[in-house]
Amino acid sequence: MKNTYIIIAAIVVIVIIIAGVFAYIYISAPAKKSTSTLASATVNGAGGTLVYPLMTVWQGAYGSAEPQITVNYNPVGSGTGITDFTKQLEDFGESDAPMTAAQYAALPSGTTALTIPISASAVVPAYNLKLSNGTVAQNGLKFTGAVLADIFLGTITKWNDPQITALNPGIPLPDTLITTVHRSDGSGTMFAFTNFLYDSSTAWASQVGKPSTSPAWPSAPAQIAAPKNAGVAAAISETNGAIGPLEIAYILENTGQTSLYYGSVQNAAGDYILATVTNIAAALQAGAAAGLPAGNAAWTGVSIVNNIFNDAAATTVYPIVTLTYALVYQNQNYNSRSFAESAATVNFLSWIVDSGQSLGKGLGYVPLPANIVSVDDATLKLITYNGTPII
Amino acid sequence: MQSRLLRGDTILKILLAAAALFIIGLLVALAVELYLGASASIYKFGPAFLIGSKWVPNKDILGALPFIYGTLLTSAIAIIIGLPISLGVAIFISEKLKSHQTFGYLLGTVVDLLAAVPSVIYGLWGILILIPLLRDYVEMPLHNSLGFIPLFSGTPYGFNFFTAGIILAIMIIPTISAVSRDVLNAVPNSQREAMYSLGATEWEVTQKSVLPYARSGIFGAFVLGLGRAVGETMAVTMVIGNIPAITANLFSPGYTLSSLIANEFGESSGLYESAIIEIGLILFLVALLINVFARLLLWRMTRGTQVKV
Amino acid sequence: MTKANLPTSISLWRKIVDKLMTILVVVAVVLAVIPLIFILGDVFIRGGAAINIGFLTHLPTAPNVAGGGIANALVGSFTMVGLAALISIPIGVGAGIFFSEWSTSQLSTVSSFMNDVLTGFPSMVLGLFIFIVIVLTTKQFSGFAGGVALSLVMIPIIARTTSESLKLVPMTLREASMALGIPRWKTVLRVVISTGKNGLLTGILLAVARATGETAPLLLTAATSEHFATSLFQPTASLTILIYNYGTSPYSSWQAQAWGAALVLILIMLALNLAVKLTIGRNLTGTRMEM
Repeated sequence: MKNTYIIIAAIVVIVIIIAGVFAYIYISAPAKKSTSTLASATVNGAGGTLVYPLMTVWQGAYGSAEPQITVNYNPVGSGTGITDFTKQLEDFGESDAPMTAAQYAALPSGTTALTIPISASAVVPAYNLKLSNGTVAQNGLKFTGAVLADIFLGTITKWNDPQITALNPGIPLPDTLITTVHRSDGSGTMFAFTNFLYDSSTAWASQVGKPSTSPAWPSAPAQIAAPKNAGVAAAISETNGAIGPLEIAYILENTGQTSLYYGSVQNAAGDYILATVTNIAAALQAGAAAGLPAGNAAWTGVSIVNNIFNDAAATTVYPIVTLTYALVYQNQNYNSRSFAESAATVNFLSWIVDSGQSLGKGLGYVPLPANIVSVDDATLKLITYNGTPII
Repeated sequence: MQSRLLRGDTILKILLAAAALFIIGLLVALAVELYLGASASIYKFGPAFLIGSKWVPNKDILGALPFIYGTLLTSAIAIIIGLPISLGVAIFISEKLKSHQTFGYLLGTVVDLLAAVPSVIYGLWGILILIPLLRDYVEMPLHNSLGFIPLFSGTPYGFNFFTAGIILAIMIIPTISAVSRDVLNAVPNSQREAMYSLGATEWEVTQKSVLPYARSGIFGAFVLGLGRAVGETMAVTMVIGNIPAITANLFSPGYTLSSLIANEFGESSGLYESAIIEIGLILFLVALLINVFARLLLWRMTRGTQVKV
Repeated sequence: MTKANLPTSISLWRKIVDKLMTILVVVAVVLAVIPLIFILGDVFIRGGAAINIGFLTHLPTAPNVAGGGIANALVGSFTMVGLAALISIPIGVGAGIFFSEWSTSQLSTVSSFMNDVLTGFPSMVLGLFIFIVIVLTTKQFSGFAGGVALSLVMIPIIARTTSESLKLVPMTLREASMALGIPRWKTVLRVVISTGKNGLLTGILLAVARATGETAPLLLTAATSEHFATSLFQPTASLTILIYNYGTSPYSSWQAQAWGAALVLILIMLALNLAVKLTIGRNLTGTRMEM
């Protein structure tokens, strides 16, 4: 019995020491010096996972600029982000696809949601294929939207199908069965990809229907659905003959891996484009130039993919590009919110649009072009508290 | 004096009964919440939801049968593989290592560590390591040699019922073996000694004396393991392929009720969200039915004995 | 005296069966240990490189930025699992005792059956339930909601294992205690529980391990945060959510941290397991029930 008491006492002492260490770390964190006029507040956001790594960069940099403001972001997924935003649990929502008509209708009555693009990404056709000469297919296999649609419809089933070999002369495509891989969970990446397929193929449009974050994928002879981009990337890299839509960061950031490659896609001008930061930025620029709605209008169905799909003059753009949006209420004095919270939210959002865009380059994020930034700035000026614009 | 004693008894009984009531209340509250959330979908789709076998959301054709099948099949594989292994481990530690208590304790702790692995890690490990391994060294050979049996007739890509069942089996081993171990250790030595004195071999002692005595406890371990298998989401979703299918082919991709909820709930809204919640309700009913079935099985096995269920 | 015609040897068949069963049992252990080695080995290898003192004491940083850590996730997990244990141990043990000691009552039969059903509930649905009941009403993601959600995962496990352990305590012990005039409540609390305490502890440790490894319920209740939570009613980071977010990101620096966090989690559970078993549980050389 005495031994037990001694051991328990020892454990209690250890726990106290550990707690003390944590307390010391917490207390000795550099004191937040505030030089700005903003009152201290917490800004909470929730939404898609695509922008989460960039959010952590922003949280760090913004935390140095405005240390009295704490920003939290919860990457639960676009759908839950919109739901939480609708239930007014967050200061801003975040989504990889604009709100649908039903989601706009579900907003609390008398409120207007503003849609603010804050970043962008691209979807590439990723594959893993051993060619008939024994080597592995490298980056740059050519695809058109129609061919991709037929692959995912299950109409094209083998890699050496004439439609694919016609686009890729000289490449010894084997007689391997195509395994289609796609997301099992809802995703803005899938929204953009199905958007492109919907535009490219009437067969796809009639069989699968409108672009959606959770499309009804047709069955193919060999098919895998995996959760999250990480799951899709793993499934493709482990299965010979697999192809699937993948967010580009999962290939560019995976330096050194040997079984995940991506292909080039034909744009409206007829050029086959292998996605890079440059041509994604060009796509954003061209898409926005074609016109984006005002922030307080409905953004349902708005997509860069649509805007550049028929733009034959845009020769250097990558066709499957998607924006990711922050959602915020135009009138900030709901639910007895304080002015400090509203001001902090607006300040953070305008900071990420104006100053934060270049910070994501190291992680593969494409900065928003000037024309989208000015649309966002105009939208942010619409935000009011008690009738008075905050900016 | 007597009333004071009874008061202590009554107070304890009331407190404990309150805890038991809480559990009932919790389950009822869960069922009610699920039903409320699912009511729009129940009203719209009716009984066809339960027996339909197609799931096409944008055409409003929703049938839950493939997912019920997937949950039952993967849980069955998990139990068929995991239960014998867990019992083997428990018997080994508790009976064979009687004279090496320290080693038995260490082995037990190490197996228990599997319970501490987060389900996310099981999922990541499953998709990164287990799938290529199983596909190339287990599933392909099985398909090539025994492909004429419907069970192994499909070409394995790794993302299928079989892999999901295996990963579930691994996940339930620590639960079943830890509880069984304690149960076997609690069987009094007098039981074993009596058998030995009758000239039984080691295995016969275990089989005829220890295991029957511990039957109820092992059943409890089985229930816990089964519960984990039926409800597990993250690890299964990573490796099962997430394509609804009703087939005897173990190497076909499949889909379970909990994976569907995990995949679709976040992005769903309106009627579709209600349908997903109805899937949750169906999972609740499936778990209920499995437990009824298991209880009946135990009742038949312990009929006539003094074992309390 | 004639030599009695006793069987002096066990038949060959029975010997074969005995040896066969021994082999099968060893095979079972090997099969159980193989995935263990794989998984734990993988976690150690991938996670080991990421662990250092800074990892344990710093706040998270952006990908590819040095010096990131899991300090807030560690504290968050501790807090929420601790809260969950505080809620679930009394309720779970209490219900378990009731199932075992008052097993004939109808309340006990119904409740223990419902408890079994609860063990099979997907934790995501439990999280959704708490989202509706706590998060929506407080209009706030909080560590408190996360802790309550985890307690719902733990209660059925603890109740089940408690009742099973106590049922194995021989009736004779209870009878002897009552025969000595000890009131029932003291019998239950002192005699029955202390005899069955190993099973109780196993169940509690199992439930704690399970709760610490849960992700889905926390997604909808505690959300996540890059900072320390200064109150229970704020979004709170946790090890499992960090593993989930970092492990599915495209950045290898974050992926390494995810495995590192998994390793930390397993080591903590190991330490907890050892600490509890060594002190409150049976001593290492163990005494079997000698009745």
